[in-house]
Amino acid sequence: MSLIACLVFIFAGWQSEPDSSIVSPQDTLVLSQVEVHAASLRKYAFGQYVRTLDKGRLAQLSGYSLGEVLQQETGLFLRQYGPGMLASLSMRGTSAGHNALFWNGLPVNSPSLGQADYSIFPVGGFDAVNIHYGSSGALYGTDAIGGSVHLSSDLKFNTGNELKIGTLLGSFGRWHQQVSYQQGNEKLAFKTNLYRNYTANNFTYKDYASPGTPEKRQDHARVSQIGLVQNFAYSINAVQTLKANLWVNSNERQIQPLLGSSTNDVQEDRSIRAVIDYTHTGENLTWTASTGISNDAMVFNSDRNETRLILLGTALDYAFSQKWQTLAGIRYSHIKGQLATYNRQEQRIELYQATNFRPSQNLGISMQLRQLIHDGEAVPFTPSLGVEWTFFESTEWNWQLISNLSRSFKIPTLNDRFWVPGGNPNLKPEKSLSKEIGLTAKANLSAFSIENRLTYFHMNVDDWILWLPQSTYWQAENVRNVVNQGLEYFFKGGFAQGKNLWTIHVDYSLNSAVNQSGDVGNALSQGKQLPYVPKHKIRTQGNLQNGPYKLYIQNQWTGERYVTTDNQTQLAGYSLWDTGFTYAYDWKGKLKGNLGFHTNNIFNVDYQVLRLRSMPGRNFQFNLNVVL
Amino acid sequence: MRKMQLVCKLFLFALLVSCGSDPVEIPQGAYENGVLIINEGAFGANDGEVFHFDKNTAELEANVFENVNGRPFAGLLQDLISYEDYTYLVANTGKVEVVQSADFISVGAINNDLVNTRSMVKADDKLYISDWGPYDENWSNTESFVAVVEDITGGNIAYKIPTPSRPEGITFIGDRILVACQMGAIAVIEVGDDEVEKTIAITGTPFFFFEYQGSNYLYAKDSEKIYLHKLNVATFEVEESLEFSVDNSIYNGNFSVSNSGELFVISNQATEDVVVKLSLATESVENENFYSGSNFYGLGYDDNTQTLYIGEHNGWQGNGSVMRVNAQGELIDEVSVGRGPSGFYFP
Repeated sequence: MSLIACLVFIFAGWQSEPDSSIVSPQDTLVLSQVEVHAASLRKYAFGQYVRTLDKGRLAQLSGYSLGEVLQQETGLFLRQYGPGMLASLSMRGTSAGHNALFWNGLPVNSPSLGQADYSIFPVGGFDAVNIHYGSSGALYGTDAIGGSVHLSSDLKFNTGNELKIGTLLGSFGRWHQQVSYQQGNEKLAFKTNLYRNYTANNFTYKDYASPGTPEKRQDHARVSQIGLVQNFAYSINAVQTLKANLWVNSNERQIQPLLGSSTNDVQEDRSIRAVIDYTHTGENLTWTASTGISNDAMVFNSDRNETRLILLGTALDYAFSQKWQTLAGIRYSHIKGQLATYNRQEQRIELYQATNFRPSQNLGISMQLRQLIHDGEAVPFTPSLGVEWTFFESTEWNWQLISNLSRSFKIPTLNDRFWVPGGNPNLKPEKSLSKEIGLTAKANLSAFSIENRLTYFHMNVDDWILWLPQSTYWQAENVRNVVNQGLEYFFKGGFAQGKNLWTIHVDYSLNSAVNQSGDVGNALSQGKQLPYVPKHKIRTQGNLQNGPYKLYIQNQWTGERYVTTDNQTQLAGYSLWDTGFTYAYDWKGKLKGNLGFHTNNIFNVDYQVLRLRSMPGRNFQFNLNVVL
Repeated sequence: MRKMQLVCKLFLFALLVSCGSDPVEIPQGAYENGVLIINEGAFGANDGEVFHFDKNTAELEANVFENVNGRPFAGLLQDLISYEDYTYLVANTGKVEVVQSADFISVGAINNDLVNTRSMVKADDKLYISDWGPYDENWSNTESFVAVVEDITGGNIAYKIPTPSRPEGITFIGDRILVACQMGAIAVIEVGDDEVEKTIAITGTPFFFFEYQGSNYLYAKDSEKIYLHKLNVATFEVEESLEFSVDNSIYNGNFSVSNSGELFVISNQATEDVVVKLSLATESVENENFYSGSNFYGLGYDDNTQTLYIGEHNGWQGNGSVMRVNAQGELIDEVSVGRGPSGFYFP
């Protein structure tokens, strides 16, 4: 440990290089694979917002989980059961299972639970995060009712050799280590990444369950994670590419008890994911063929649950002209579940088609269609239509109107249908109808640049599945109907003042998620906001960059959340401030990298994301990345 | 000076009055009348709480513990037991909170080394707390115990008395502690020796002891019947067993008996939940369907107003509600309460 600390301070004194956000002087813009991936996500998504998280910022957050990153860096709300504990995403007021998560195009929501635990996806496992806001079932299939999150790997040809060593040391026994090596020539590229994350999570908290609310130290929340990522790319010839990605991840944790409980639960999550993609890129035609496997094993105390998804897919993307492009594809999934109370296998086939029409430079229309056949039965046909219209454009300003209308669906999870007792094989898919309209404005005014995006959405989610008590056990039923509506606002502003570059980012989300149905006779819930859906969340970040130096301060304000469906109990809102300083160094071109010092929850706010789930107070982190 | 003399005289007068033999009337505390509603709380949320219902004004005070003490109860409330000055809130998440009966101000707790606490009794100025102990990998409880605490306002556990699996209801008769263990036995503990002296096998799953017309009974059940075992006061063996045909009855502390020997129990039936009325006097099922509905979870009978209180859990999707039903089985009113109303206490 002391050796690491010495290394940290030796490296800290080395010279700097401009960080990745500084524009390259090259005339030709070379897109990385990540950027290409993001572009393909946006290609048939007129009328919706696909946001790419800042890659430089992600590098500073190496060792964080995806859940922590989204909670801290976006206006999205994650239900966190403690630091490093279960974290589930709520987009546009939907439930945890109404968002799809992909890794290099492979769906990684658990087939048995129908959702992902965002705390067990460490940043080390991927290079980029793209967030698709809003209903996107026609593009991505099941689960994408509130939106989707796409994780992808970044591997380039002609990069030469690069060895990167990273570490992060933090309060409460946090220690992250990462080593990656990549090599790339014009034909072949590969990258190997090994990481280990550990946190004792021995933070202090107020024990509200005991008389006098004494301060105690958390002693059962240790998290240990280790993983390997292997990326490979081979350029067969000028038009054909083969890529392969492998991710092995193991996560062991003590489950932090709820205040007032003294449970000693432990959980292990082990996953192996692999994807192989073949791409043929012609003049007007791109043909892709993919296969992938995602194997997840979860052991809770002594109960073991294992699921496997095998995916085969192919798609043709053809440009008839500048005005017309179309994409058609087919995807086959084989799902196998070996759960504590049942075994089950099933097949899914999906046909999808997307068309872009650009009648003029300032108007884009995209239409997507998807039909999924699930164990021989068709789920609701899923169409989507989006429009993007640039109604004012000048050298300084660009104004766009965007709109989208789409259906989405969620196939009931394996547990919903087959868990013994209470699984209900007769469940219908949950379905949604979503509408959204928005306005974007971008301006470049000498030293200023600003970008605004405001979206209003309205969504009706029907046949929402709940587990309800029956005479002797609980059973899954299609009972709930919810209307979600709200606003999303994004602002990016920049101001150049000599060598100083000031930037500000604001994310605001307003989510009204109102239960229309009252959950079978529970009239107290009718017309009420869903629990743990904050109506407001604002995230603001301000940066000052001067060459290799960067200072930031950010705030995350989350409004009140109701604890129960009848809205009789609510949890107070909270405001967290973080700050940090980063420095990108370069020592004669031989050694480069960056380091950062961060303080989270500066004002030591005592807060709970979920009721009676303690969260840490003020904490510090130091990170160092070295590139050889 | 005169003022000083007057003050002294008044003080002397007050002293004489206070030392007199006339009883001094201490006003009742806010929570020493009305109805205390036990809301168990939902698994994984630890949101058990006590609500107070004023029978005269029908006013409800929510979250009494949190309101008074400025912190959440933070547990699943299994039982509420009151002994004059102190009321004990037993959480099956492993703690007992001790509050003053009059105003619910917290005076202490037992929250070390309890695991799955079920009920308690006070005897010989000690607290005897039944606890299932931890689950093993087969979801059995092989390390059940009765914890003994020597301070009636809480504190550490002095020692544990191992018992048969899943000790539930607990009572103090003569100089013995009786523990109803769900695996089908009564454990008899002699106060002082504080170890299980003997166990007595019982028909059905035993839950709860109660007294009726000077005799001690044990309530037990299986999927088809309810058993009321009359106990010999000296040997604690079963003297007589009364059997009532009631399918799928549930017990969440929801057993309720009137002074005249009427018992109310909840029966889960295929399409509805039913309150069944039994009679100890006639030893028969008096009314198979006294009141029916859905999501019934707790019962309480108020002898003073001859009113049955029925707690509904509302599918656990939110808070529950309580219905008041008169002696004729007619609904009086309904009020929204906390999560999973499982029982009622009438101070």
